[in-house]
Amino acid sequence: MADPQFVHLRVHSDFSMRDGLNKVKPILGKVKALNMPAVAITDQMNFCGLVRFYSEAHALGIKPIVGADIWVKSDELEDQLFRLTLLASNNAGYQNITLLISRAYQRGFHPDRPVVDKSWLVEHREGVLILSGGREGDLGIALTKGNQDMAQHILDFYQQHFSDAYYLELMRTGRAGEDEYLHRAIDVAERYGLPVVATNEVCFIEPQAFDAHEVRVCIHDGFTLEDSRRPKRYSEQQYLRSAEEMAALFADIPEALENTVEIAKRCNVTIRLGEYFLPNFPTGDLSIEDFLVKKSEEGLEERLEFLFPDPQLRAEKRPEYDERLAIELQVINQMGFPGYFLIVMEFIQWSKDNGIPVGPGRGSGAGSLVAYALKITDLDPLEFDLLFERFLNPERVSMPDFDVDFCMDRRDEVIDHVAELYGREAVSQIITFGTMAAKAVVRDVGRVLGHSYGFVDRISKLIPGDPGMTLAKAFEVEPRLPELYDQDEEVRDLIDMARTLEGVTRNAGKHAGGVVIAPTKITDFAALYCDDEGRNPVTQFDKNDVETAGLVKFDFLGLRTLTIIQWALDMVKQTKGLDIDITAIPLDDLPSYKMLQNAETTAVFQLESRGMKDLIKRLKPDTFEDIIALVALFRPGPLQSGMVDNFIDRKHGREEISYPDAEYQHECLKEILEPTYGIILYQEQVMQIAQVMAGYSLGGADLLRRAMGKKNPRRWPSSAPLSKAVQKITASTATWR
Amino acid sequence: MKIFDLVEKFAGYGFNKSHSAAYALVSYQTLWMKRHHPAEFMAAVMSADMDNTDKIVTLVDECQRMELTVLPPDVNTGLYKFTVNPQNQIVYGIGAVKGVGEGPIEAIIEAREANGPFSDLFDFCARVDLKKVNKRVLEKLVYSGAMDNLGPHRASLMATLPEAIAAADQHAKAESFGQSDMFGLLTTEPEAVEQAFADVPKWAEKVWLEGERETLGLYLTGHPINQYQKELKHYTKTRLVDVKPTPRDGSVTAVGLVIDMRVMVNKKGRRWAIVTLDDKSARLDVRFFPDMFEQFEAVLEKDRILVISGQVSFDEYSGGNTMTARDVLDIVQAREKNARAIVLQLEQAWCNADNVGRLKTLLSQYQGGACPIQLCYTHPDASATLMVGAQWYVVPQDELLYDLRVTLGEEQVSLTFH
Repeated sequence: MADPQFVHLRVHSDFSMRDGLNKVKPILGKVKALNMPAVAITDQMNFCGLVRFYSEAHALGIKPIVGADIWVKSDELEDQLFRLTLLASNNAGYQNITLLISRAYQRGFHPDRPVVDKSWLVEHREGVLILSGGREGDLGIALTKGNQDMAQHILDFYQQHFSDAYYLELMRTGRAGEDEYLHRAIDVAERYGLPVVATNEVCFIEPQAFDAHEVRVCIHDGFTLEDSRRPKRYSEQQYLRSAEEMAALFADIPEALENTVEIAKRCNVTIRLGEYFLPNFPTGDLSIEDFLVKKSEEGLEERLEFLFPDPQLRAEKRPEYDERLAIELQVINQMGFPGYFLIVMEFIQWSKDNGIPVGPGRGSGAGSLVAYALKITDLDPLEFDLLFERFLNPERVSMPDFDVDFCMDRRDEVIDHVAELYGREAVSQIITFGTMAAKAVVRDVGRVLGHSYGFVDRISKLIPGDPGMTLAKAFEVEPRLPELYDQDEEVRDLIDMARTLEGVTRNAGKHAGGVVIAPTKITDFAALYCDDEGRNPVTQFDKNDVETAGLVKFDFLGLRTLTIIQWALDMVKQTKGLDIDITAIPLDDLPSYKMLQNAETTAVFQLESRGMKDLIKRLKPDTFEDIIALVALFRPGPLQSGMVDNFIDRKHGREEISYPDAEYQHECLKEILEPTYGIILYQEQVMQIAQVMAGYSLGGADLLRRAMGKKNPRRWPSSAPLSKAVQKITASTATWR
Repeated sequence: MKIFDLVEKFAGYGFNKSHSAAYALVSYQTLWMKRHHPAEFMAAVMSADMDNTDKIVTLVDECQRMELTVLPPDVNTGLYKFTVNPQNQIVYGIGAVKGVGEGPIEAIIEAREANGPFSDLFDFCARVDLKKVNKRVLEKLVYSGAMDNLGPHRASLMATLPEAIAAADQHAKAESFGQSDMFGLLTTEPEAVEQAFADVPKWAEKVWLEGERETLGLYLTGHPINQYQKELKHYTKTRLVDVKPTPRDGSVTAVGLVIDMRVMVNKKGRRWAIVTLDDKSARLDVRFFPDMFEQFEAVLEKDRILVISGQVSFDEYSGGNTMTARDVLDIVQAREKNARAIVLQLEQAWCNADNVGRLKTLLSQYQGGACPIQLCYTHPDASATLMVGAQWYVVPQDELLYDLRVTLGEEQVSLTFH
């Protein structure tokens, strides 16, 4: 590659939720296609896209330059906000920009957006390079006004605090006042010996996207395109220009181009991704591993006493439980997750101690005996063949994930407790991004294009309101859409524009229930975003990125049913003086099953829908295993495949039970398939079958199961112990659909 | 290796058993609570869905099926949420009364906890902070039945409200008067307000039920259809709860009270509607497609009793049965079609010139209908039955039946059917 001529240092992705159009990935794709060695994505007051930018840039062999556009206020300009671009020359700079942005959000909007005080820059100057912001920077404003004193004052500030780190930004994007500013800026640069740098304030990739960009801005600002009061701040030249174009544009000021490359060389930030940093859990004199072992063994003892009150039976059963516990503990400690279990244990225990109802653990957590011993879950995994490997797979390193349900009304108390315990600066919730969805984008675009409500309504009503609906899908399921599209030019224009904008990030919100706990401060890992009053901090990285960035996520979900059970228990205590431990009720209560079989399940969690009642009447469940099966069976797949009918017929003896099929019996599967009358219903059974028949470890079987779910034979694990069996299996799938 | 194919097939459907088991435990817990502590469980469920009238209706129905009594809200025993009293009856949550917010309820409970239950409306108004519980809230409480224990009946409570409020005002003044009159310098006593309930007739069932529907979202202590119950079985044998999907060309007749009607415009700009019928046993949604809607628009009205025939199918979307209407009769049309006559029992003693004249005037107002009048005349020595002439056939409106009952007596008026 020849010496690079130009690097874009000011590019907005759609995380600039007012004026960025494109996603990070296509921007990087274009940068790659243009053969540029580096790029800076500098979104407006946020690092929301940083994780994907950083990792995808690396994957493409592009050097990611970390930075952000910020809004600033200063004494000189009083109420007039101005803009700067901050770039991180090293990790300290990245940290400082993170702190600046976070601080601006934490102060609250000022007045209508988060704003950095110019004086803060001094405190956070280490490792920070400043691009002056062109016409819209403080110097640019002073120069445009022709206010020499003010310009002098401003220059003094940057020369004092950012000597060698302040660049006069020059642009040629065809916007009013640019030339005048440019001449004055060059004049200043010469007089003070300041470096200049060319940017293109990129807001979209291709020039033809300008119209879409204008619509995007209008949607945000609430104007129509034709509105004469609409500020026109952008030009169609703000696309991702090639180095050649930039070189031609700035042929007269070559140093402005050279400096982009110099800056790119100066900026070297390394972000550690894909590692996790668990918060510390206080364990006294013991190591965290030993503490987990101790707590788990104590807990198991209690559980065994409850499960098997008869000492003799307990002694008989104990070895099985001890062995399972030991294996799980070894895996957990080996994978480095003892802290995770202890943290979850702590906040669940705290909730229970404070009368906040806690659910039995969503997801796969119920497969862990350690979790059962620690009272994280409330179901004996051995009794119901729940597998630890489904939860934590030693052969596939990934964070464990307990999704814990709490009583809806009091979930925030738990989050507050966690913040109190681990430190407010160490705890935060997580951002979630709203994107322009099919229906909304048609409405928004229609409004901005100035169409009547009726016209827009007619089209948008045709788009089904299902979650995850896209325009493409809507065109498939609703034939009137393509019909209108072909007939009516206005509809076509509207839809085409909507297609361009569909999926663009529109706003930010709080992810329901996700909480991250940092070992130090959140801002060591991610910048913070807050509401307009500076409250409810969330990480600027979304739930996936925040984990990639090293923070451990805990899901605090709300479940109304838990509240209901608690209220009912409270009333029983009051009216009947009975203190019921709902986690200790017998799971084989005949009267309850009798009521269930009559489908008198109105108000019973998960079992009250009409379809479910019909299934219950047919199945006549009489064990807890049957209730587990009900929920698994009541889905479109099993219902349509006839599996449900087989299940019911076998349960009632109308069909012979076989393991799993009359044509090919495998006696060795009997134990695995007995609870479901020989029918393969659960992922856990798939794993066990792979273990018994092909010699997989349960961990390997989990990998197999995941691969099967993806229908991708090539990704099947080949490291299983009996690779011969694997080959055999693979060979037999030559006819894979 | 066939087993593999099967595994492959089911791997796609395979369900995470850990998750299923954990959630099944919650299902089981609610099942167990419902079985062993039904009143408390249902009270908790209703409290959780307090703002969702549709859910409450279903749940109150379920309570009735479970033979649990649901009492109206009660300012003396109720709380914000639904509760269970020592007789194992569910007491409606005062918080579920529309138009009564958390503030007023707190004020009521505060006063009750400070000095015990309220003896009557006057005591209530005197002790509760009327700045927090204003007249509008008091009216809602009366309508909902929450004050039933504080006076003779709802009509009287409502009529007495202004006085009770005035008395409370006086009472408050008297107290502050007493306090400032520490030295007994002022000797005139504040005028005592007589605390007597207004002597007004009870509300008709229809009126008090309307009040319940307005404040609770449902008819709790009765159903407007009750007064029609006797005649309705002549219009159809099928209760709404027994309505089943019909064959393609089949038809079934349903009778109920219109409790909701949603009129929509279809893509061609024509109007159609979904009408919800209720007969106390269940509810049924009836669709009126544009042609039917236009034909029957005049009788489609909330709070009317309608006799609707149509085809019933199971609606996957709503998970219930839905009828597509083909024919509609309102109660007058149904009577004209099905009733043989209005039967009037006349006793000789009653039949003076005055009374007969009044009866004639009354009937003349409804003349010109299709319903014959049958007169059963009883004399101490003999009795006779005679049909009036066709020019005296009447329109059998509710008002006519009501007026006849007022004139002749409740037992003297009835409908006979073919």
